[in-house]
Amino acid sequence: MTYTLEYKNISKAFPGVQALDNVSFKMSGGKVTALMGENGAGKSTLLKILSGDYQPDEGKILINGEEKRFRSPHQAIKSSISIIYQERQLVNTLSVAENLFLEDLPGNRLGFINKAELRRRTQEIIDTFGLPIRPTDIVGRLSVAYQQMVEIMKAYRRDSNIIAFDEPTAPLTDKEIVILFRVIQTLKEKGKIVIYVSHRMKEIFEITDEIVVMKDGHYVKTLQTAETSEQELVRLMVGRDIGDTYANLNRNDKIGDVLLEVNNLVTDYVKDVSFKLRAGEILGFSGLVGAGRTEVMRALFGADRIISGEIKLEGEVVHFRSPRDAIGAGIALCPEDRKEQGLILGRSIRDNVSMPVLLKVKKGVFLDVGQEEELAKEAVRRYGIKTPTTEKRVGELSGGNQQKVILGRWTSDKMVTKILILDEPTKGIDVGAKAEVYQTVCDLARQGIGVIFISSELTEVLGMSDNIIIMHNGRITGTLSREEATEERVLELAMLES
Amino acid sequence: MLVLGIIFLVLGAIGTVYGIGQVSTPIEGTSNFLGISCIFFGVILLIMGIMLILSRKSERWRGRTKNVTNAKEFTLVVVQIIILYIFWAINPNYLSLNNIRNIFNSAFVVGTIAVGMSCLLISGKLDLSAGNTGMLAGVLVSLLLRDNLPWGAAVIIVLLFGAVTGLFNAALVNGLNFTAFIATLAVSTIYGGLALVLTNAQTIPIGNQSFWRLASANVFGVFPLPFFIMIILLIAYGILLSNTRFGRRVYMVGGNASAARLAGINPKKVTTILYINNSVIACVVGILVAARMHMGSPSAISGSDLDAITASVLGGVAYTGGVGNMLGVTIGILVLTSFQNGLVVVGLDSFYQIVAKGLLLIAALTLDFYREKARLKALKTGQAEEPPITAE
Repeated sequence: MTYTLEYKNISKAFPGVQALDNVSFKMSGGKVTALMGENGAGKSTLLKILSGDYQPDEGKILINGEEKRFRSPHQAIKSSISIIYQERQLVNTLSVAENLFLEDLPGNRLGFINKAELRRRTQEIIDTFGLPIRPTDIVGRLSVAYQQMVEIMKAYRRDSNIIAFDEPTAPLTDKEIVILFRVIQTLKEKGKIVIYVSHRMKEIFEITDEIVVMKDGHYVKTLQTAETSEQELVRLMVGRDIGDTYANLNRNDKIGDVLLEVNNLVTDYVKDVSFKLRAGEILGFSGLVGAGRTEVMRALFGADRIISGEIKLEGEVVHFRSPRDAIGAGIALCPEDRKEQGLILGRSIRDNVSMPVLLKVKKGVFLDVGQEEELAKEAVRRYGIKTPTTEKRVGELSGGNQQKVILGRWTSDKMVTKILILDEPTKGIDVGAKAEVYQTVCDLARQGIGVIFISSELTEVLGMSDNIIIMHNGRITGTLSREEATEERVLELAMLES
Repeated sequence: MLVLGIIFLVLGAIGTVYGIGQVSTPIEGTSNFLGISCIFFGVILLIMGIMLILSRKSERWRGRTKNVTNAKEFTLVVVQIIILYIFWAINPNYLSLNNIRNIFNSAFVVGTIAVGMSCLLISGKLDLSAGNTGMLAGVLVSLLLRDNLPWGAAVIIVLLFGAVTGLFNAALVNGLNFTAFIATLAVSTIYGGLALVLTNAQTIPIGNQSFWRLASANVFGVFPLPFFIMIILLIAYGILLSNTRFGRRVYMVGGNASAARLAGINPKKVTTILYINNSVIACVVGILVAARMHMGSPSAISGSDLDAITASVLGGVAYTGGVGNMLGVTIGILVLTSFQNGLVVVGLDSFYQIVAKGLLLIAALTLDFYREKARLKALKTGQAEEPPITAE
């Protein structure tokens, strides 16, 4: 028999937002179904209702035609549902084996754990995946990619009939993605219902059989993957044609003098790194996850110790002992993990924008709230941040708008930003918002700011950068100009074994 | 390395033998400082020499040596040895059989409360009311005995009172979403006041002699019952934490409550059980202290909850939750009590003892901080043997 899962007239509202509005569609076993839509389209809410984390205001979920109500994650798991969340749900202090069997540790009736059995069963799963990790490894010490694989193995272990993946590949490198797709193929052949949420078009077309398109909390359409195209998909998701994103950008064509010169930089993590950044230039950094791109920026920013080498800012040698020094000299960093390292989610847009310039918005000994408000309003206006007021907490904004708040912070009138370092600025941002971020970055370059643009998405680096530096294993393996760069050449340099 | 090992071995052996010679033929009127020091450093050099030679000889022994020195408890054992040495050198009576008994006996209050407390800390919570709960338990039991209740009944009633207290704490923390710190602080304050109300700030004598026996009875003729209970609890909860499903849940809830919940575990249920458990254990302590002092006192063991937290943290329990084990806690209790006892033995003013206790905590944690930092650095630069970071 074929498993079926049906959402029927599901509605869910949060204060101020109708997250889902009368959504109905059906999925069946033996197929991989993609769930697509911009951020805020309601994909995550659909998954959270399925997992028992949220309860729908109206409507019901039918599994094999039978109505199910999940009042807690516990009940959903009992009904053979597993969800791989975008935010990994692992206990970092415990081992791989213990994480795989969190709620279901093998043991006897007295509650004593059978550790040998636990190790054996975990090893079996690791072997199925073909990963070089041990059951006893502490999860917190694994690389992010392996942690994600542990999360995936956790769902695989439960052998659930319904398995949903929410952006599973974001932290993975190509090698693990191959493994993941093989696993998904197996699940499909076993007749399970596989739900796949991703922003990456390439993956959607590679792995899924049908695509459910969502927009603004509404169900739009179910497409057969084989019969559709990227253009059609984007048009349905965004509701308009965005065309060729990069060709339509209003780029900067006047590149100025050298702003930043790095010579033979060596730290604990990178070796012999040299490059130049000019005013108005967008300098792309490409390479696999862990190639040392972020680490170069940390050293530049005064966050990591420099062992040897020199950094020249506008021709003068500088020594930053802390990020504070770097900010003072006009360098701004938008970190990869914007929620953890970039923003204070619980505070307002205003507080987040004025954060680095509080000393300049004083009136006597007190903060000048009026001036702060001006700065925030300017950021909202300039970058088109979608919010009713600058008082709104940053944590309540979508990913794209959060990124704009960070850009607003570093480019406010009170800042003298000469160099802007963007580390994966479009991570987790939907198609429409990406295009806006790209244009914003180009606008900043036109103002003469030197932009360092780090990204793992090849098309993005190729489309945005004037020059591209490719790193592998802590070293620069090549520099390509915009004209020279092709996907093949960049990949070749990125995978180069030195 | 081999040469160094042999040098250590020889020096250590000479030192030890010379030291033993000094100690075994005491000269009247002089302290044995020299002899004791020779034995102390001699034994350490001996051990280091053996370890160096062994790790030179085989890969397996190198791994073992590394495991031992990397363990979180290692720092603590070093601290414990230093404490023993210093106090012993100052006053050789410190390690007399009698004083060792004293140390174990005084460990009972803090040690037993630390059992329940460390479980709570591992689950990411804490209970500042444990001390006052135990104190009030002592008062209650003395009041019940004054009313000529049989002591068995009195004990059961007080233990029930403990369970209710735990449930109340859990209701505040899990039901009303109070921060554990605030909720239990409030309960602690209430109980402190209640005890004064009930006793009118007087101690309540206990005349029931069979009740006294709870504290004075010896198990197997050697262990005082309270000490025996502490050891049993430490072992039992050690096994519970490391070998049972419930124990693992405690770590999961403390390590990542959201992950635990989404995996179908109920974090509130786990912490509720731990709160009840902790309060009941606190009541056991309160009852036994009352039996030992032959009275219920409204100031008996209040504040011991903070000492229990100190001992747990010393023993490697992370106050952020998810990390720790009973072996560490046991050593933490030993370090804390042997240190306190040592201060008494060397005759330090009792007020300075409190200052010194705080300093000990800072010193131990500082040491641990630097060890952890060194370890993490080794991990990042790939010097430590850790799981591979990139795929084959």
